Amino acid sequence: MSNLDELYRDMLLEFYMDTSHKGELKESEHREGKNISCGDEVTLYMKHDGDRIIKASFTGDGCVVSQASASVMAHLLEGKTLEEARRLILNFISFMKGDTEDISEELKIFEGVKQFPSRVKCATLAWHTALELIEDIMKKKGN
Amino acid sequence: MFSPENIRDDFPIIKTGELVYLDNAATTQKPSCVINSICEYYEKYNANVHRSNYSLAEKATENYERARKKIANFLGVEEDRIIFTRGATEAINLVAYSIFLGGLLQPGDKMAVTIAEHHSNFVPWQQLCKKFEVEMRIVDTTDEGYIPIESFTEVMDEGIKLLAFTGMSNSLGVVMPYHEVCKAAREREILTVLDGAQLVPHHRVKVDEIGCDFLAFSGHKILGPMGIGVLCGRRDILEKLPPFMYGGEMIDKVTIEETTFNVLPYKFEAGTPNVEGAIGLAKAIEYVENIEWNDAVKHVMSLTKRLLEGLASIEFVEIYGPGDDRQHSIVSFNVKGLHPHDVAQYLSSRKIAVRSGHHCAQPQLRRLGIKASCRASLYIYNTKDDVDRLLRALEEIVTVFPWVMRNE
Repeated sequence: MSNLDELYRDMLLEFYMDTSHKGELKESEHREGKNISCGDEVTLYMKHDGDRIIKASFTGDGCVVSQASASVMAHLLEGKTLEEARRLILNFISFMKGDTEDISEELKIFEGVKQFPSRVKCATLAWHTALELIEDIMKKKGN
Repeated sequence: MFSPENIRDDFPIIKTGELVYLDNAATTQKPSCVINSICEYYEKYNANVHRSNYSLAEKATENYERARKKIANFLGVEEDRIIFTRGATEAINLVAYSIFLGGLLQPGDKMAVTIAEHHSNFVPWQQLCKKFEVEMRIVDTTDEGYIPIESFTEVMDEGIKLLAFTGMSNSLGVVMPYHEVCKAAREREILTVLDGAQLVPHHRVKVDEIGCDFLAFSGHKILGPMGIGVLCGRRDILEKLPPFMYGGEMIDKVTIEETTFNVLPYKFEAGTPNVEGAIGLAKAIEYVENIEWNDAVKHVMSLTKRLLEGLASIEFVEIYGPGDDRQHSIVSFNVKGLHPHDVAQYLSSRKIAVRSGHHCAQPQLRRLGIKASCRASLYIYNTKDDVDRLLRALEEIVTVFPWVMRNE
């Protein structure tokens, strides 16, 4: 596989094309994230019952990597408890940083992105945004 | 006779032929003579300038000042009007801060910038205007990114005291009517700050013929090293302005109570300067002066035309800018249905370097209704083959991203 094929793996392109988690979510909490270096923006929506994430979606324009990453993340977060979601996000961010190789199968499609350091930010934008949102929700819940 | 083939061997990164380098608006590659001049400085006469009288320091000072003279001649001014800075950004910040601190713009006054500016000629003015309660007016571009002289004079007649504008926009490569603008401003006694970051590498700029009050540019976009730039100003204003930074070198006499400042240009050069940078930049200017310049400009123009025409013939490519000879060396474009990052990444896999993103010109891109674009920018060592390789690669992008064709 060439470097480019590794970056744009078929599965990644499939998640990019899959728009089932794209769009605003009514009566949900949301948070905006921004990649300062390229100007990409993502808004993440999350509906939860105080413990579990019921639905997640996103809006925004971005490159294939950032959009595919937001799409797969929204898909994975649904049904998870806030704590499980937080751990999954931290795990993915460490994986992208190269701090761990231990990652679930569907997220391995981002392995190829790691050899393009400038694109790692694209892959983690939605995840960092989700982490902030979840920690916010957990903090509010704690109070 | 100028030919890019004759100069490519002077540039180590270009010479390898491994990469089609089309990001010259971000920074140009450096010829060996510039690289060697920096090595030579450190190997043979490194010492702090303007401080000591041993022979090594004398030699460093002499070369530093010779570099200033070289650049002064290039711009057609006297050397005490050449202030070395870190780059165009610092040059603009220097003049902006000094103008505000010196009271040349006061609360209630008006000044203007254009929407085509690089952030470096936009944000300093915006922020200082807020702090000093000066009103910042905006000169708009056409939908194509050009600004006709009438749009400038219209804003000038709103009673502005200063106009900061680019001679050539970095996002679209549009050359503004800077001669006419400076003339019209001078007739109205409006101060002008000309951002020459893109202009100086491509046009022979003679400051007093243009009639701008200040000109800023960076060395690294005209074959020089990074970390060196120039602010060239009108002497009578520079003499009036207070320093922007305080420290060593820029003083005349310091007592516990008071400090008097050094003469021009040292008043504005606090601290140990970037000597290697000044020497490297002078070498780059010398290199540029030894090229048949008119032919080199024509060459870059013909490449720009080839690129514009080639891109226009690809149905899924959208081009920004007027697309005629007002556009020089820079072409901004998008592949429909694809984010510019992905286009640039794909091009990188084809060994072609272009910039993608907002090009530090968010107001201009927003004005065009886009968030980001790909930008290919040419310089004198680029060839027709470079342009053709980019065009061919773009035509073949559908093999990687098949939906591009469907997104018509």
